[in-house]
Amino acid sequence: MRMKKLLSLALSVVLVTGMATGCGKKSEDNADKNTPTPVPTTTEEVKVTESGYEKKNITDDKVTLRFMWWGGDERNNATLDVIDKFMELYPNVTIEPEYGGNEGYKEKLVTQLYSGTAADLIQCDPAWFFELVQNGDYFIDYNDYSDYFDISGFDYNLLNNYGVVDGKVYAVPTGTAGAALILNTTLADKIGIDYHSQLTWDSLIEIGKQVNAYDPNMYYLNVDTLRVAEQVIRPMIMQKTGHPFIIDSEKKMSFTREQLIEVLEYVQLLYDSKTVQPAQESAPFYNATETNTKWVSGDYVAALGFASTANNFANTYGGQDKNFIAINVPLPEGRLNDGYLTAPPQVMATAKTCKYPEVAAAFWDFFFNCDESILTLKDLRSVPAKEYNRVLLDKNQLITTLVTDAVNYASSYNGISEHGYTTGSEIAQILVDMVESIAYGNSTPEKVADEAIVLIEDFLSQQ
Amino acid sequence: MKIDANAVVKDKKYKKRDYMGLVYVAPWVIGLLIFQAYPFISSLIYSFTKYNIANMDFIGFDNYIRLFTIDKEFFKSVLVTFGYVLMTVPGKLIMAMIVALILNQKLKGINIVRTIYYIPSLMGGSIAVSILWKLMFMSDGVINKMLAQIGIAGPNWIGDPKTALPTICLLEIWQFGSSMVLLLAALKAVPKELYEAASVDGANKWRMYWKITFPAISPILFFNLIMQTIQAFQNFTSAFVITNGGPNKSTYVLGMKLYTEAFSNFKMGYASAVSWVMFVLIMIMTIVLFKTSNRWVHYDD
Repeated sequence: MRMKKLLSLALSVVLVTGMATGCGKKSEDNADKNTPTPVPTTTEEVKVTESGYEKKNITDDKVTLRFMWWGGDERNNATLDVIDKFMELYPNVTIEPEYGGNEGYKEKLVTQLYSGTAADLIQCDPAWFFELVQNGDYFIDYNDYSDYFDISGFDYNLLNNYGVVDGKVYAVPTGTAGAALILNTTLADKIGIDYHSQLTWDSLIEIGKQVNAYDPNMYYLNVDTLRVAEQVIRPMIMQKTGHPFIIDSEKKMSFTREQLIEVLEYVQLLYDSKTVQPAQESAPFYNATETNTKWVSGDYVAALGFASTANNFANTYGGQDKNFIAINVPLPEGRLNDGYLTAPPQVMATAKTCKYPEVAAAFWDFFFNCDESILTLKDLRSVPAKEYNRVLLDKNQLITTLVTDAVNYASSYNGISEHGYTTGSEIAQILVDMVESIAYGNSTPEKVADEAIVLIEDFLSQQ
Repeated sequence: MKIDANAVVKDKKYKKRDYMGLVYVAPWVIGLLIFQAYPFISSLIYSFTKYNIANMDFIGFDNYIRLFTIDKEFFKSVLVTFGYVLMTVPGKLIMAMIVALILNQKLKGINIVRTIYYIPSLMGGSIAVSILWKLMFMSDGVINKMLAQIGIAGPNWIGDPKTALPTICLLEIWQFGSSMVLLLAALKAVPKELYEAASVDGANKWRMYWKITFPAISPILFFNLIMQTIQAFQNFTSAFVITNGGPNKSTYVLGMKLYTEAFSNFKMGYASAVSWVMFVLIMIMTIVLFKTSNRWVHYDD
């Protein structure tokens, strides 16, 4: 008994000292952070940030919200910074960050939404966000929290196309982006590639051959089978038909069998001409082409990706000898439209299970509308979808030219919004399967097209 | 002492303390009902519905009909799964048997060696090991670098549809430790006298193995065979983490198919149907193995 008492006493002492030192450290940290601004001498709360952003009138209860997103290191750190700033302004609120890579993100989120354990603040991909909205009542309507979250400044088209369903605002776009083709001019000049003329699908192949002839270890375009599906097949179909892959309103395919075969023949040509790396070699870097070892070692000239990730590509590219610019994607003559389009890289939603939706709304307001946040988040979720934010970043020279150029190109394309069945998981999977069947050389374009059409028709018949 | 016959009869009724027995087994019964019976039955019901969490419509056998008539991917998936089972189960058992036979020798420090061989199994089917595997078998990973040292150009292990499945199987085979430990225990239990008698009769090692060792350990071997087969049919982690079912669906095992249908495509009913087909396949395999066991498994009694 005595031993037990002694032990518990010793443990309590350890605990108490631990708490005391813990507290001490925290207040020191806070003091450090506060040094540039005068520390308030009275007990009165801070209600306005340095830039003049006013605190919303939210509950005084102790609130804990979870915020879930995916991103690279830079984005994660900036987001954590904004969370800290928010918690300084609202000391009764704790935001718990949950972040990681985007692999498996959707599956994790879906499972959590189904079981009612999803985070409160959720970053979503517009490609599958509408699938979630259609499948259940998972998100709050920001219209109901207009006192806490001002959504008036968002780009009208982006907000309406990617966040609004039946007049309800379920999500707001983080930025404006789209397909981006970025190219290392240093290497391109060395090989003698003409990157000033407008690319077409045919000239892409010619350049691909030129690069492979210059050095058989090098390839022109860094893509994986997913990028080929999303940024070659889909745009080519839209350029040929003027419609997205699936026309949602009519629940039908926009293309004929012959058109699909033509596109698949082109995909075969991409691989056969060695414009792109053999699928066997690029497969381990599926959906993470910026980590492809050939890219990291500088054996690629260009990469097809998104404007929002242009910086990631430029950063992971090997060697000092690089100068990246954004160039125009392939736009052939006689196209019905550009096939490429502007879309937000992510949208931000709030779970219906959130117990304090007004606090969540206040957080988003701080995230999107407070100068300090804007300057911290920069273009890490692509160029902001609000003009005010763009101007502010530009004034402070915080947007990289590469990203701005990529976004400007993307904004100039007049493709039609594809979200819906085309970007839903099943059609997306059929598209990738088509590319892989061709890329691994075990099927012909005709056979692949026929098989895919059966699957697509079956899928559409179930909708 | 006089015994009252009526009292004896009355005593046969359950007493309060008899019910305590039920209380003791209650945790297991509750666990069985909640975590086994409930999902088991509900998934059977779901398999006859079109269920995307928000809505559930009863559609009869449509899911099963679609699986067997339209969904070519499903057949491919079944084939891949059989390929996986046929490679991993014998591979693992043979590996476990060889190592168990070696470790059954009386050598110095053999206990440490046994422990070392068991370590891969401790790691189980974890994500971390799968990621390690992925990195090791990348085109420029450790394995290929080592092969390059001895002048062999290694294949593109996980990028090539031909080698991707065997590479994943290797991971499973590598984790032969638990089977090995069971076999080792069985080997230790074989009476030494039998070997002595056999050697007196002039039997060679090979003959001794097939006539004494193998029959003696066959029940344990059979147990391992059943357990490993069931486990292999249900594989998911390595296929998901290392290759994500690719390239070109070459590692798209039934576990992957089930997961994709449920959590990417929101088709819970369809996924339940896949899981039931999987269950039936496992049942058939198990029954077949039990039937054949009469011929080669020897029980002392």
